Amino acid sequence: MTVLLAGTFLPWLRSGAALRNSYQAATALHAWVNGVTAALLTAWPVVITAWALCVALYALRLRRVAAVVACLFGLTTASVAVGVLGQGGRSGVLVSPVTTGPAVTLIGATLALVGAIGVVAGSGDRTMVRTRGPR
Amino acid sequence: MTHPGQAPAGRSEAPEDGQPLDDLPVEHASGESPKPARQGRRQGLIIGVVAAVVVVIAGGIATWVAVSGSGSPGAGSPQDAATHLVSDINNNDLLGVVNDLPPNESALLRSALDDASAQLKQIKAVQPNASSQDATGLSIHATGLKFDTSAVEQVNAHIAITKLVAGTITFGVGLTTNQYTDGFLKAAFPNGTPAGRSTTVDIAKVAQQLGHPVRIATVKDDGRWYPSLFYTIADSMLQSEHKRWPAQTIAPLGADIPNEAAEDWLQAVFNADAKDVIARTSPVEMGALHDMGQALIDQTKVTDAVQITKITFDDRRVTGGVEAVLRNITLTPKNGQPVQIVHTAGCYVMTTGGKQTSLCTGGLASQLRAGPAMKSLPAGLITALDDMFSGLGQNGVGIVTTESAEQWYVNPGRTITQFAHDLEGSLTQQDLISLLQAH
Repeated sequence: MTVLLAGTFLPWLRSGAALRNSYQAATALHAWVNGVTAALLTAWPVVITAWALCVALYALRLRRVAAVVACLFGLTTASVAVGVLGQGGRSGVLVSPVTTGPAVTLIGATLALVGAIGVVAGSGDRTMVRTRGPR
Repeated sequence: MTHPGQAPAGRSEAPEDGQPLDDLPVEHASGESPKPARQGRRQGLIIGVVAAVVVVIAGGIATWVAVSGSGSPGAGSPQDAATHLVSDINNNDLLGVVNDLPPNESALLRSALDDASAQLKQIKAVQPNASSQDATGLSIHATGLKFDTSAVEQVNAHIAITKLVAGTITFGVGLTTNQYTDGFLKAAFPNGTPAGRSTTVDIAKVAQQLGHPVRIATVKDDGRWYPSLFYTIADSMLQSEHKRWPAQTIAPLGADIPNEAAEDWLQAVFNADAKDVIARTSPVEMGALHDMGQALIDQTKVTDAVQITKITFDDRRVTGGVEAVLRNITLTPKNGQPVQIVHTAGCYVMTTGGKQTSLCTGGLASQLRAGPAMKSLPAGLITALDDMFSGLGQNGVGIVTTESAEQWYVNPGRTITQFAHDLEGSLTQQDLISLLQAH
């Protein structure tokens, strides 16, 4: 989850010699788009809130809830990262996506998804063992 | 009753979501939980709550860092606004430069770039995924720009002039080859893509020629300062006329509907009533004109030589407003015969004194070819011009109006960009190639 969050603070967009992280890119591009895309860009800082929520839930031992939130969070950020990576880091153009941030975010999102699935699956197995008991 | 090793009553089902089995109290045969286990659980819970609070605070700080450092538009002072612009120019950051401008100017520029980009994509000249900035091939680069930080001139509460004293700015136009389609590049440039063109401006030399530093106007909008293109142009005009910014602004005069705004503005134009012409333009996008207007109107004389006796428009929704497209107009001069202009089937037909003159754009190519001066022009260029004006003839010529505070105003900026959009919209890829080759 932390790798995922760190990825969002790495470069996502290049305009000339200026590099922008995902939050700066969302602000800079917000005025250039409208409709659903604009709404998504406005909501992008929620990524940090979702990260904090997941970790807090995990710390409170609500691990399955944390895992479910992590799954949703991981899938969403992975989709965005894949979408940006799909645009490719084009050279010789003025404004272009940068692959560093999205790639790290995608790795973090994948790890978060695997971990979340592991938590859900693990707690399910333990539930089965405990509930069976001797008859 | 529970047997040793058997799950206690009520425990045969899975625990509630999120409640791990490790955390559930284990009931002993005596019915009492051991104290150390309860204490350990409580301790774990306290650690968990503390950790959760720490994480929530960290999340809040991270959100603040992300949002506050995300380059929100505007700056706290005129100097900061200008410095921000210079920094973005130095980085060749066109996205940043456009976003540095006041929201109204930035929106106008973005819409012009987007329209041009969309048109180039439609005729398959650029790749579908090309950005607006790259499709139009614009670039800007600066080195060593310096402001005279001690000389910010505060015109009034919302206009301040910063002074640029040194550095160079290079403006470039060129084709970023990987943004254009292969088919277009091969057809347009069979001998290879030409190098881009650029112009470099030396600020120190310009300041020497002007006799004063290069003035960049900044404007306050919603509590934030922005470097303004329109205010800089207005300031430059006033400087060249040796005039100062007027103390009073021209109050906006709106209309209830777009057609009325366009009609009132046209009548003001025919009356040569500069104050009325300015008052009826959008106070949002033409704020600079309203602010400098008093300095202009001193030079004009109002007449009532021509009256609009009848006018009708067709409304068309366009980016950012409504375009009032002229359908017909009857003008009555004070000393003369009425003139009627009617837009019909791709032609503008003018009738005066029983005589009719038609300007049918569809036949422009043949008229151009017949003209002796036009015979030297390439056939492709004449076709391109014909296509451009055919589109205007079909769509009609209009005035874009925008709404502000429930009143409608003429918007000259958007009228010009819409006119350019209509011209571009009529071009084919071959027309664009002909225009580029002629250039």
